[in-house]
Amino acid sequence: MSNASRVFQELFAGVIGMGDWTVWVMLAIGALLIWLGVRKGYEPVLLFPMGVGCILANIPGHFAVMPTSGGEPGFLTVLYQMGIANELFPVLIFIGIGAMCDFTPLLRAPYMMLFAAAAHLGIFAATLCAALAGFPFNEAASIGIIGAADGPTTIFVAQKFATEMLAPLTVTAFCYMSLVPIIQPPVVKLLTTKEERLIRMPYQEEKPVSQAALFLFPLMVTLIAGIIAPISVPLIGALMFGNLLKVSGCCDSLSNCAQNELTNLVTLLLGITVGATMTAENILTLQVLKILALGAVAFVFDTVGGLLFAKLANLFLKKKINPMIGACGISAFPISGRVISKMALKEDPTNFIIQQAIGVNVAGQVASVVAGGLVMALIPVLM
Amino acid sequence: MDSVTASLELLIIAYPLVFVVMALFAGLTWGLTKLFPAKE
Repeated sequence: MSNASRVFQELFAGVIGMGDWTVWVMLAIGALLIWLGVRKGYEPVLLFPMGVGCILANIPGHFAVMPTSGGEPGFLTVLYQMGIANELFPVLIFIGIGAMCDFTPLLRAPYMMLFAAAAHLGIFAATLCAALAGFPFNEAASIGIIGAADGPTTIFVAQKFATEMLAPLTVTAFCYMSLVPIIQPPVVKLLTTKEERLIRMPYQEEKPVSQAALFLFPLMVTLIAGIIAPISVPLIGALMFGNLLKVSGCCDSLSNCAQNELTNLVTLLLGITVGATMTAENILTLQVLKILALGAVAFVFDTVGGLLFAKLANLFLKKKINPMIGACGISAFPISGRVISKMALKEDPTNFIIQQAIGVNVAGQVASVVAGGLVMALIPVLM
Repeated sequence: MDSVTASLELLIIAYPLVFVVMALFAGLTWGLTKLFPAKE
């Protein structure tokens, strides 16, 4: 090759690379994520950095990830290695989530934990559907985990069992979490009567919870979940460590740091790094369309599971509960709790079930980690 | 084991197990609140 030709190729490598149509599609997908986050308000703190990461990773030459011309890996690959490949970022996010969680409503009414268990049906329904759609079991179970309605758990499981599907799984999980206000109401309306949606539940603000119980609860959950499914210890341990910082009363600065600086910083790095895994060969496949459809299956079945369990409980209870709170058992916290309490207010402007809805929603956060841990423990056994 | 059978087994084993663990948490949490009641 002549010198002139080499100079031409070096100078116009980017322009030549733009001749590939997949580059244009990936740049459009990056722009779409930014638009969804910024203009539509769908999880903007995550979708915005993901969109930017996607664009940076797909600019020809790929200097932000792994230069095609060789040389040192780009900064997004370095971030991937130090935060996603070793599952550090999801765990750090869990410390922040734990510090944000208030388990008081749950300690006032521990039975709410059963609704949260029921509302994880979507994990198993989506896993089965994914298997029927032809995915191998490890990938099917990783798709099913979208039904945990919990981004960091999805990343954690996907990184362990379906690394190549990390990007589509993460995007799907976070997109559907932000779409809870659109997904849940029609399912709830379909499965409940107006009379059921009007059921009132007593407000228990006055029922106090001791500091000792609040402090011992996270320790107890960590210990038992750790003993039953040791693989879940990083997630449940981080979640409960964050909560202990909050309830200890002596580490307010650390708790505030976990809730704000730590969560914001890790979300920023997580978003842009996961976005950078969105390359044409990972995203422009039929599999991704299937994953999007299966994600919807997971969220719908979560809602169905929680609702039907609450309706079943009503058959045996003298004092009926509003079955809509069953749908809050998915862990999309606090979106689901707010959506359901708003639905109750729409039916009857004097029916306040937000306390119970948020209680079940917080229980969903614990249940998602428990379910994730059990699935992670069982995947290698059943494969 | 094929993927569909494994998924069915996961459903049959893990879903009830989630209930068992959460019921255990619920029972122990109730016990915690009784053992350490809040001062009125």
